[in-house]
Amino acid sequence: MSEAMGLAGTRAESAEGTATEGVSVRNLGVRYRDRVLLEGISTEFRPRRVTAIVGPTGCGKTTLLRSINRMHDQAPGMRVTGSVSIDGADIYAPGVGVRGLRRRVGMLFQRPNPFPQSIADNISLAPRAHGLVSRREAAHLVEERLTEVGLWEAVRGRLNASPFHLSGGQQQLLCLARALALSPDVLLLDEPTSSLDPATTEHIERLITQLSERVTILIVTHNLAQAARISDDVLFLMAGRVVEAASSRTFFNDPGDERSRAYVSGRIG
Amino acid sequence: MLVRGRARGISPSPAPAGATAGRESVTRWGDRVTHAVAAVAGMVPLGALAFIVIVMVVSAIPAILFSGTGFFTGSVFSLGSVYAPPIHHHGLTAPFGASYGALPLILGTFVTSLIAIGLAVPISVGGVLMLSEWLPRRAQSFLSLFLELLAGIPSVVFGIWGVYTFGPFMAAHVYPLLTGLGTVIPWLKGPVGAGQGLLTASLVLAIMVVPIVAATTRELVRRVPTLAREGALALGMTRHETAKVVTIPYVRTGILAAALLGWGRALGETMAVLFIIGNVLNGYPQNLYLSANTLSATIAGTLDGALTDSTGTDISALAEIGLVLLVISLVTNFAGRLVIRRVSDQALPVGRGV
Ligand SMILES: Nc1ncnc2c1ncn2[C@@H]1O[C@H](COP(=O)(O)OP(=O)(O)O)[C@@H](O)[C@H]1O
Ligand SMILES: [Mg+2]
Repeated sequence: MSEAMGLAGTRAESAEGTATEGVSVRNLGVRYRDRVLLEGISTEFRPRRVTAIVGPTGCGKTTLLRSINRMHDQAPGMRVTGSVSIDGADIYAPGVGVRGLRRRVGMLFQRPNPFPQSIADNISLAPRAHGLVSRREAAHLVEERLTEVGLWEAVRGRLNASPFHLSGGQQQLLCLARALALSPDVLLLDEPTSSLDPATTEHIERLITQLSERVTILIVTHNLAQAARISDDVLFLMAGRVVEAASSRTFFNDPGDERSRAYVSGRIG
Repeated sequence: MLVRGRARGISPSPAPAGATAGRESVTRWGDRVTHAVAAVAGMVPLGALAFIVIVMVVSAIPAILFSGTGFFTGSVFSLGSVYAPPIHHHGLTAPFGASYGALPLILGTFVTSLIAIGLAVPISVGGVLMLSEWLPRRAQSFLSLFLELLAGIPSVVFGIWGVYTFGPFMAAHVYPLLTGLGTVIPWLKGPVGAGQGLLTASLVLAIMVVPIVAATTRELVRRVPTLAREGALALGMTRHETAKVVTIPYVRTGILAAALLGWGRALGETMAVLFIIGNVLNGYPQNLYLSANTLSATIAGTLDGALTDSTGTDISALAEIGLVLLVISLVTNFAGRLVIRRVSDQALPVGRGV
């Protein structure tokens, strides 16, 4: 792990302005049969920054997020056009495997969805499937990841128990630990705290801030206060199009678009 | 089925919460009537079961007295001859030469049904899991229509097909190959016979049970939350890994229930087995290819002859067979429910996700 951190560190020093780093979306369109869900989306998600994706319900936030780990591949009737690049490489290019892509791009869903497996296996199954750790190293990884999300003390005595007896917040932390076990470069968070209590929400927000030192984070949120607290940048969507992409400070204090102003002040959305 | 009905009858309904004084008595009275009706309705299946058991026991008493434990240990089941003077035994009269040893029938019932379910469960579960991943939705509903049709075919038709087409084909082309496994499983050594026997009956039973297990499995798989499966897919797991890690644990308990349902069907299936199994009433087959018999097929196959016995003991023996079949069904049903409860109370239940 320290190795990956070190790597992240050097990249951070060299990188900041390099256009190819981070997640870059070019003229992205998503259609479901005849319906346009997203159109003409072009934007950059800066590396090792937290970008909040905001907008009214149904504007396409989840759809955008799912374009970035190619979750639409499985959905019949979904068509994606344009391109998404991660660190300069187009993830929709022929020959790119979703397995490797999703290893690098983790995802957290609106509601926790732990595997119906033991708590320990929830962490170790994916890394083992990807051949990242051996069965013997897995135990160490489990402790490391659970510690990182602050769940270790709570579950160390019942690693072989079902995760469904944990609270919703603990389950979501477990899912975060599960995603982190693959050492992703990008994390896609789809309203990860919308079903959680304030204490766990605050805990997850702190984790997001810490993680952004080494991971590029895209977080969809309905909670503007949350976006203001944790995001470096904001992407504001309406009806499947980008309204404004700005730094968090600009977006909340001096937005460039009238609709952003209305959204921030609570008049729309 | 009966068990579920009984549970519903017994489970206490919460007492009605106290309403305001004026309306209370009316509400109370209405509730009481409703509860009484519900209780009676709940008792109906229990009463029906009790009635059936009592009738069976009473009818079986002469045969029970006549053969005692010999029913469970004897290997010859013969109705005897009504053309010779009846014999007297344990104070009872029975046709000359009558012998009610049902052990081969009991074993035949278990062997055929277990082989059937042992083949049908992996085939249907594996098939459904694979097809649900590879077939588009529409093709899947076409497939389940096909399964329903298969389930709706009368068992007599399976019997005729088994005895005239399937059995002879297997005996000519497939069973000779299976004898190669005779060194590992001695019961698969030849001779293979003409295709009427234990194995053909088991295979046809398996075909009859597949639709039951497959249809249930398909429904279970369809109900696995997309969110749960996407958790695995989003980690780059393959569909195969996703099935193993998410889908199968979600449907496991349900499949167990489906398997028990299918097993119950195979235990009691009569007409198809009657046609196919060869109806031998004496002793055990030398291997799985040859003729044998089951409890239910014996009842159907010998009822005619038993009715000609004026002593009534033959009919009583068939009632005892029926009683044993009933007990086996009830015990497997109860045991199955216990297993299911055990499994679903343990770690990883169906649908207990957040
Ligand atoms: N799998 C799908 N099939 C059909 N329509 C979809 C699907 N997913 C999303 N949509 C539609 O796309 C639009 C955007 O949805 P979504 O991205 O989930 O919005 P948001 O996350 O911003 O609330 C909605 O109108 C929704 O109905
Ligand atoms: Mg959404």
